Amino acid sequence: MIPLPIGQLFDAKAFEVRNRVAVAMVGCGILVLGARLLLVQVVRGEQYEQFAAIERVAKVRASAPRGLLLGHEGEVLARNIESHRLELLPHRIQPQRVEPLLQTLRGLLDLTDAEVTAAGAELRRLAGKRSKPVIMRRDLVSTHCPFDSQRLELVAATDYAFCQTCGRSFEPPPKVATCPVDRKKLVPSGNGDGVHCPACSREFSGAKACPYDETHLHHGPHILRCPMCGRTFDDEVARLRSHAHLLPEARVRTEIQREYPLRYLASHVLGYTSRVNDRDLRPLEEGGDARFQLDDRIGRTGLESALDTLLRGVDGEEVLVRRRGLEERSDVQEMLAELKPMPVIPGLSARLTLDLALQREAKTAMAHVHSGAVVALDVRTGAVRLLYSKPSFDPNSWAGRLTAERKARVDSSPFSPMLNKALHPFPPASVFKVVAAAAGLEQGVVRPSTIHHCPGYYEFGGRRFRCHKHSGHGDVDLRAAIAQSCDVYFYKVGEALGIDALAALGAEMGFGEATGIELREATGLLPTRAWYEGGRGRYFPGLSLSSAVGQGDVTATPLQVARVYAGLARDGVLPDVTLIERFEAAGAAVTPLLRGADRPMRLQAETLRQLKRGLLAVVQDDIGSGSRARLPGVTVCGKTGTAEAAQRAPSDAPPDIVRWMLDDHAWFVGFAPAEAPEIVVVALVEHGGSGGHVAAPIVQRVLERYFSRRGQPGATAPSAEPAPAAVDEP
Amino acid sequence: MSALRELRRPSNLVGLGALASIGAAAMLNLWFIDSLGETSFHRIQAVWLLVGLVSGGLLSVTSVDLVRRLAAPAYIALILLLSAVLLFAVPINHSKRWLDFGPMRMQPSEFMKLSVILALADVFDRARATAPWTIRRLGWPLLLILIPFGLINVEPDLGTSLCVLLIGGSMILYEGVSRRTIIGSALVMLLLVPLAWTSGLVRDYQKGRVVEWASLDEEAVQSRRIAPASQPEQALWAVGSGRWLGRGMEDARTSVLRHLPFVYTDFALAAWASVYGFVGTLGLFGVYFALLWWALHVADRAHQRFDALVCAGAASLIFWQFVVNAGMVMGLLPVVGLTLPLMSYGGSSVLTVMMSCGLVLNVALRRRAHG
Repeated sequence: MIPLPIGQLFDAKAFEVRNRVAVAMVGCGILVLGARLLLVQVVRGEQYEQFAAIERVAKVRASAPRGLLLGHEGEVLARNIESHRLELLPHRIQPQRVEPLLQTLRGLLDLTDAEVTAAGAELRRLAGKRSKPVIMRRDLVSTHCPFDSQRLELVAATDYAFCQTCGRSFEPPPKVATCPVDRKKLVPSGNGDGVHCPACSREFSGAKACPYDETHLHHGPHILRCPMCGRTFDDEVARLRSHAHLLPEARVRTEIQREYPLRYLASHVLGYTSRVNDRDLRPLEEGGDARFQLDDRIGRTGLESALDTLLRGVDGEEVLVRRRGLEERSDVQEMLAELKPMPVIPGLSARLTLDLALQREAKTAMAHVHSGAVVALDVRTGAVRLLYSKPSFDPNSWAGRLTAERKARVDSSPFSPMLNKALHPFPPASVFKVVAAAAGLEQGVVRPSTIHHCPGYYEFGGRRFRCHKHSGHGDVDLRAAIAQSCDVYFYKVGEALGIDALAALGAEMGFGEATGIELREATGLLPTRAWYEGGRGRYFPGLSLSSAVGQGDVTATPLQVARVYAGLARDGVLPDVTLIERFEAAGAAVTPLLRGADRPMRLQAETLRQLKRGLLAVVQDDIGSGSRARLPGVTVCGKTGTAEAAQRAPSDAPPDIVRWMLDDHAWFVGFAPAEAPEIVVVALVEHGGSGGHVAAPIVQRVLERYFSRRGQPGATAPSAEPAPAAVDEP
Repeated sequence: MSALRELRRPSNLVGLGALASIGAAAMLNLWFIDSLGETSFHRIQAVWLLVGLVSGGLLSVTSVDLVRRLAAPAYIALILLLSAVLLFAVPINHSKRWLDFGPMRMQPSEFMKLSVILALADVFDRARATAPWTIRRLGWPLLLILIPFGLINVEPDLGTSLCVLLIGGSMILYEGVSRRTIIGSALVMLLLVPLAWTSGLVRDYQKGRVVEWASLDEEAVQSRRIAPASQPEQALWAVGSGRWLGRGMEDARTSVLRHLPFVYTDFALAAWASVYGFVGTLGLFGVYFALLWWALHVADRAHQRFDALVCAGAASLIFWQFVVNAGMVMGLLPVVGLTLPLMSYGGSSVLTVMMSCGLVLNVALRRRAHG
């Protein structure tokens, strides 16, 4: 072992000094720390204690409540409700727990065997795996009726029985043999142990087994009742929540859902909202919208889409503070205020111009037709009082509860329920004749006294243009030509004018342009010579004849027609059409909507007078084609139209659809009172037949409704009358 | 038995008493921290304290010759282990620090501190000259410090590498350095700091901690848009909530501590301060001071340069870890991953501290043997 050189030169004195210095430095260090400790614990201790009491401070996104859509009198057309769904979390479920879990749920909810079997199979497949929750049931009953969204009321418990095979609920049999809700006579059901109402298919039975399949019935109490439909329910959400300890694998999720209480009545105006999809959630650079998050809802059609930004409001932040038992102190409040959470700006509510009484009247008046639209405008303001398109759809189904079958049924319908026909272009036919008449008068081609002979047809360019009255109208002047809707007269006017003059004045009168309504609308078409030559094939002079009677390639939307006639009714000034009365924030009106200006048609007063004379004769003269729109006590002006619109049906269409599609479109537009017009109503019945026969009565009913109410003082509020229960689409 | 007589000296009783007190405080504190969650750090720490007691005890009675002979091989072995860490270790929290030995994990950088103390003491003691040292003659010692510093720094483990630097620097200063060298190196340091900041030697997360620390004053805390509060902020609030006499365990248990990350290691002092308040914490500081005073007192009484240097080195090891950790918990310094000696949970750290104390005790017990 090599000896180590231990005991080197060692200046103990020098080290003594160093040791003292070292001890002093250590002391200094600890003194500094002690001073800091004093500062932190004693001087600022109280404040830090407050901060420490805050267990968690978090800012979370606070969703802005979506604004409501209200009718003209404040009726709620679209509101927000809570919707609950029961989810089962597969990753928390062990395979052997599936059966007991379903049995527990069965005791809490009315589940049919089929539902249980389906859920059981799904759960056994996913048990223990991380996957999306299995949705056991949507629309759990809690506060609103799942059938008509009415708020449920609490009642004394009523007994009911549930069949787990067919899913029917049986109420105890009533003392009398009529349905307690609709007073219909009850008829025996199944094996005769029970009775049911043929109208509302409500079932009654006191038996132990289901009258249909003899399954033993499951009895229980119901404590909620829908004041609208009279059905009784149990609060399923409360039941599930109170049994949460038995269901660790399940959770009830709440979402805000848009609810449209009037269902089919104004769905094309309102549109619907649905949850954002992957397309909406695309990042900004891919054309997406950065505003949206996963559970957001977005307006898809109608006003929900058009006003989406205003209705949506601005999401803000909420400061969540979890603190312990210390008393609240102002400096903590200050600290939280310093966090500056973004405030939530609630969405604006929109009060619409729609008059629901008229809307209902139109719906009833159209009950017998397959497809069409009714529009009514306030002549003085351009406010849309009525906009109904048939067939309609239930926006509630689209707002999250849409089943595949339902969507398939709507998509395959030949009547296009989702299409807003009030804003869809159709050949206007004779209602367009006012353009030919006005152009003729303005250009001097025709005078009120000009008489043409109508033999029932007009030969032009080697082709025979037929009048709708094949036997001919004989000699007619302008007023009679408008009143009887004589095609030959207007063929001649059109021939003299040429297609471009017609298109020019048509545009001046408001055809072929946007009406200004907030919804997405088609503008229709006013063909010109240039339009035909620019890619639409050949122009030939005969086209100006068809254009003059609103056929050929001329198209217009019912709303456009309404606006044009409103313009004529108010002496040549076209109104800007709007659906919005005003926006409201917290019940108070906010900044009035910026509206487009009214536009003069630039027609001479004499021209307007002559047109009105003709339009008055249509309804009020015995020779007129629109006499079915006559109203006692009110003079009505109007114009009929019957558009040739035969379409080839798809090859697999049933024969009645093929026949339907061959028929003409029926138009009628009317305004009243003739002396001081207030309202203009347009009805279009797609493939409905003759305008005077089919469309005029619809307009007449709407006008009658309008004036009947106006006649009664103080009865202008439609909310005063009971809402008809029959809001469902027949 | 002269060793036993030495052991009974008041200074040694003070030092060992302080060590025992810290150990007891550590157990109490970790037991409390374990009650916050379902952890059992205090049991493992107890085992480590026992292991440390045995190894420290063994070191205290080992002949100084053997210790000196082992200094160089241990140093080389640890350098190899540090290289192995860089090559083979699995990163934990983005940092490669631990070597796996079956069921145990070892952190060679902790033992490197001890090894640097021994190596420096040995090198200085072998040198024929006395202080003051000049920069030219400091080549070897500096190399002995900078190699482990570099290896630990790239792990990355800024705290331990800085600790090695601080220990080495302290020992060099303790040995005595010429005035010119001190001023010169101070100037070089001043130049190097901004350079290190900008050149990327200081990593981004480290810069972030400095920025975090700089914004830790009162107003900044109030106006920060917090969600949730940062780790040093929470530590500061926990310390502050202790006030004069502390909240007591029951109260503190439900306090901010529950959500304070690393409360069982780097932020153990926050728990202590929250429970025992200013009085209790100042007492703990006093105990640490007693331990350090003892180490320096032993150094003062040492008869050999090696002994004095080892004691001073051990004192600097404990002192710097204590100051940096306490400063960090109280918001005086940015967050640096340095443990509070014995109080923080961690086997390697406990072992290192206990072995340093063992070395000091070794010197203390041999005082009369050569005299």
